[in-house]
Amino acid sequence: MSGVSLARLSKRYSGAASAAVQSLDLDIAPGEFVTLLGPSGCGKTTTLRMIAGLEVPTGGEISINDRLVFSKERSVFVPPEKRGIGMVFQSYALWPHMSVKSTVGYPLKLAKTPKPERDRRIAEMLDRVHLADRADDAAVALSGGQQQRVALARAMAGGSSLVLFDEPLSNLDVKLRYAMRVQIRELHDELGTTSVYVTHDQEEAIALADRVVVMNIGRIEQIGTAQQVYTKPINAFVADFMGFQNILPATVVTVGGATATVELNGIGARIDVINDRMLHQGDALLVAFRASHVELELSDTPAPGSIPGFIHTVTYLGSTLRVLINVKGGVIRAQVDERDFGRYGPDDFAQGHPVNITLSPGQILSLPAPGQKVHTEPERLTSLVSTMQ
Amino acid sequence: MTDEKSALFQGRAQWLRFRPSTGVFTTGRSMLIPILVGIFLFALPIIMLGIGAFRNAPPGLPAEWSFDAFGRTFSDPNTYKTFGISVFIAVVSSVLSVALALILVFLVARTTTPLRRFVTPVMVLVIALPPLFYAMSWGMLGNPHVGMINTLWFQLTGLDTPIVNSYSLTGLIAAMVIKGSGFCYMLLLGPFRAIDRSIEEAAQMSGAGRLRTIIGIDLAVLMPAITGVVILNLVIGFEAFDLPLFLGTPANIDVFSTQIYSFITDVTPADYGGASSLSLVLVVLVGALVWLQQVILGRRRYTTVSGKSYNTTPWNIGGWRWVGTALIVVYVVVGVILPLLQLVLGSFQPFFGGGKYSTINYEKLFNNPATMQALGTTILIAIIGGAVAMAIAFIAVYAITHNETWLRRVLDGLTWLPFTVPGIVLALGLSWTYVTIPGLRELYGTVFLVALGLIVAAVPIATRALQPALIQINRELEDASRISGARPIRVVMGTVLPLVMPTFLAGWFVVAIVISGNLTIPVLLSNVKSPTVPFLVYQLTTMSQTSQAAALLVVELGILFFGTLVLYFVQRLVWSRTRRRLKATIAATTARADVGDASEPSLVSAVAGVEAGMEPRP
Repeated sequence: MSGVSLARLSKRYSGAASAAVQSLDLDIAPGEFVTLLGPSGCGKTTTLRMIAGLEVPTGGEISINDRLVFSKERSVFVPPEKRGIGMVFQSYALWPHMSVKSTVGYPLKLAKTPKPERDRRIAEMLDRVHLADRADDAAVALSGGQQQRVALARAMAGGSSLVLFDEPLSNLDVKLRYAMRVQIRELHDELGTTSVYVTHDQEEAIALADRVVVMNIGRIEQIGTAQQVYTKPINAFVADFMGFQNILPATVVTVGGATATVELNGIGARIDVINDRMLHQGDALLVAFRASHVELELSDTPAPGSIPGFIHTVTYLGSTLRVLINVKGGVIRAQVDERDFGRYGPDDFAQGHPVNITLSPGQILSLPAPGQKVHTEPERLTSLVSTMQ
Repeated sequence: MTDEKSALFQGRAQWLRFRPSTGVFTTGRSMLIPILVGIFLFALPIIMLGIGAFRNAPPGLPAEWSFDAFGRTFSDPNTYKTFGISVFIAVVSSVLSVALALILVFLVARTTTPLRRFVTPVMVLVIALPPLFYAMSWGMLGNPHVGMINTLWFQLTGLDTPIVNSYSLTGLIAAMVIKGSGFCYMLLLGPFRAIDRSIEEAAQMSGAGRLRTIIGIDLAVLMPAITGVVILNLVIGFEAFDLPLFLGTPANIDVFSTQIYSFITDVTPADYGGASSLSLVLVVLVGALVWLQQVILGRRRYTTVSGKSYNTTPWNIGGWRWVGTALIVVYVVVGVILPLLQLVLGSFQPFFGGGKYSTINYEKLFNNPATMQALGTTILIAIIGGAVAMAIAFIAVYAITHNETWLRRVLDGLTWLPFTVPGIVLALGLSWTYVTIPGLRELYGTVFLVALGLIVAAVPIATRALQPALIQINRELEDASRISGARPIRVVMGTVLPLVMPTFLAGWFVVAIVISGNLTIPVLLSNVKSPTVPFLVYQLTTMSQTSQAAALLVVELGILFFGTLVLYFVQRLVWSRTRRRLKATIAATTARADVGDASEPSLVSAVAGVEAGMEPRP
């Protein structure tokens, strides 16, 4: 039994140079909440729309609740209205000529649900999204957050076992986004639906999902639980996407049991990493660590095991301080939390001030180097290639 | 879909390519019927016209292929004279119309000139009044002997030499400028208002004065739009029929359209070959202009014309604003008040230019069953034909916007053909088509053929009216409908149609007005037994029964005015009841720059919007 099953799913738009989605395989269990995460153009929305039936794939198969809804080989295409799914759209997609009540009741009306039953379900859904008092208003007359709740109620009113979300929160402000996120997860749990959720926001993906699928240029980079993807990205692309601000090329110097000592190329400093990838002496690799895991010590005397550098720029972000540090042969991004502000004086972060950087092995990831099989170039850190040379 | 059905589907022959449809008209095969209908309605008349130019006999009679007609046309020096005059009239009236419109647009949009708020409603009126009205009323107004202006001049000065003569090159161009400037004004007001004011401010911060900003920045930014409007006006100038027929022909000034007409009506037997070959020349000329406009508009995007414009304080042009006011007053008087006054006054004279004012003309009209029947026929054609044209346009635009294959461009081109074909040429092409095709021959001379011709001619206007509204509808609204369980056809009827309904109704109204005032189609396609009002008006005029003709036109315009008034109040009534919902609909479905001054979808802005939507595809 599976909620959604995609096999070798492909989509190539006519005239496009490369495929939007390339031979995708994914199994989603009933009741599972899966997010498709990736940058724009990675094929996540196309995948979702193919599951919905709004796009016709150019290859592969799709099953929903063990029912084949698309197969290229067997020439099967079940149109969207017969797939029995709910969907929440990015633009809300509320019909301007309908009231809240009739919007939520539309799927029920089309399913020929008897009126008393329909009214009961509408009332129940509106109650769940706290909009019972706005039932007779025009749906588009509501505020942004309320509109999204109407869209949510509509998607779930039909009692679909599968609900698709296409970046539903991207048009809301931050505070509303948090509240809506909670509500979406609550509804998912209460109604026991299977949910597939598309987003480009890694925080949102992690907060919502049982499993996160990280996508890039039409392919899956990594599938895992929220925690796996967040703490153990398998390559530089995923690490970058998950907020590892520092990704640096390195070479293995010595291997000693559980740990290995690597030298950062160009920088020259040696640090210890946990050897969980069977590293050998001389192997090239990438090390990744978060800015928040960088320990800063303001000192002009180099300490053993630390990397010496100078403050380049400091950006005040309210709760944190972003610090860009010039080290020999590169830059390292560090972060100081609000509660540590007291440890530093007003002039400590002046440009050119010397610092020592310390990293603890447990917080450093070792990732495959460019050229190796699972490596994918990260999106944003374009400097990676240049620092390799 | 049940599994059995899927199995059935699956059992289809493998050579049939598996191309499931994701909605109405999305696949190539679903375009077959729209394209066939499009070819029949829009392409066939032109093809038949082309064939006709190479035949040596009138439609319906056995003939042989020949270059005879072409030879005659191109060896006749008159052809070249006609060509020269046509080009001269089109160019001069186009440039002057645009210049006049630009000044008025500037006064309205950027200055505090008193009376500027009257301009837009007056322009809507100028556009809504059919060319026939201007042809008729200006012919009367500037009549060298008994016209209102000259009569007044004689009385004031005691002289007996007229100061204006409508039946002259100047008179014809003046009338075309007055009519054409309304159209240009509407087309230019939108772009002018939509200019991002920050680029003006940037110019001023760089040290440019206001006048310099207007000329160096605003006009430069608008240049693609202005060029587009000039070319569009050239097209309209070449296609003009009513004004040259009424004002030019009596003075022996022949343009393409009137020359084509005269080949068929003034020569016995009618020279269909000559008319067709001349038509082809005109089609090529107009086609080239439309193509040129596409190229110009296509290459330069209005990058600086953003959707969100914010108001800056209007420019105080000092004493010049009184000059502006004077211009506005003159335009309103000459463009609307005098022609209306002359037409109404003339209709109460027993014969034009003399006699005691009386209602004799109206009594004659109402006592003549033939006239009353023509009136009824015209209104019926306008209403039903308008609805049919809008329905065709809706299907075509929906198919064009939703089809995912190259075929959508074919259909798009087909619906645009009638626009590039002048009315008189279209009428000629239609007569070739329906006389040649067996079974349709019986339609010739009946109101059905006239109605069909009017519908074909009106489809481009209907298309322009609907297209912006349909494009504005977020595709996710339709997707949401599908996901909710609606079949494709239900998506169209239940979601798309209700959303474009306000535009649909406004477009229907405008198309009905255009159809009811069209003279070019009936002038060739109807006969004495099945006339429409414009045809009858023209016939009465040629029989020197000008006062009768004026009365008939007044009656038709009166009915249109009354109809507009009724619709306006009905709309008001409905509007106040569903104000909020409609407002939301408008906000959600349309984000276009409001062309009229009205912030609600009134009939005034509807007319303005639809006519402004005539702007060819960006």
